[in-house]
Amino acid sequence: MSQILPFTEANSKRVASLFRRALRTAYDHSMKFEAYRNTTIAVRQQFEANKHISDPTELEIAIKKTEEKLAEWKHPDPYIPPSRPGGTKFERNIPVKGKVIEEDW
Amino acid sequence: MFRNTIKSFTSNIIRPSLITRQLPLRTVQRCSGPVFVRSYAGFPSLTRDLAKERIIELLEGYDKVSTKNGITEDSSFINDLGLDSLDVVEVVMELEHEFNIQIPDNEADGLKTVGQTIDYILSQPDAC
Repeated sequence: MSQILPFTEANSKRVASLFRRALRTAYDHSMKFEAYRNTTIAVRQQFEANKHISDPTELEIAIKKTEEKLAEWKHPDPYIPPSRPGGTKFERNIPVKGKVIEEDW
Repeated sequence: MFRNTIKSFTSNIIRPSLITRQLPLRTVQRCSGPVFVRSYAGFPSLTRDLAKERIIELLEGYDKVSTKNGITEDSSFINDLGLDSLDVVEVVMELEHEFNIQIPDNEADGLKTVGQTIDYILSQPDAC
């Protein structure tokens, strides 16, 4: 194997997933987009601080710490896009299938 | 005095556009019902060109993107635009906000080029 273990594709995907979840959590917590952007920069700095980690056990510890922090900051009412399940516009105005029966009684 | 000067000066100027231009004769149309001039509720549906334009505009606003080769549908986020994996995550998150969708982890990892991203966004029925 030519690649050093912590920098494999799988591990970078794990870290990307953590980062994405961190950004989602930041978005849930910030009411304004500017606030979200500032939090994004702070989150990015925290991730960049662990960029150098090349020891697998150290990496596992860092990932665990991040998971704990994400669990701590988990939002009780996260943002859901309007048309997605749980969103405010989900299944609104569904087109009617078939023929509508006329009221002729 | 100054006012008088201005007055005499402007009165001599003939504005040709007002005099020579003839207004076209308007025929009065009889309207049987209400005529709606413009609907503000109409929103253009998302076409491929529109999606591409919006994505490229978003990418150009991101200062880490290197635009020296231009952004085309084939350009890859990491190889051509010079982003790292966390930058790609940020860009995809911004695209989610732009198009009002949410992209799950496994599909977001598969988005590697601009063209793939456009295809993915167009395949979402609620993207706007």
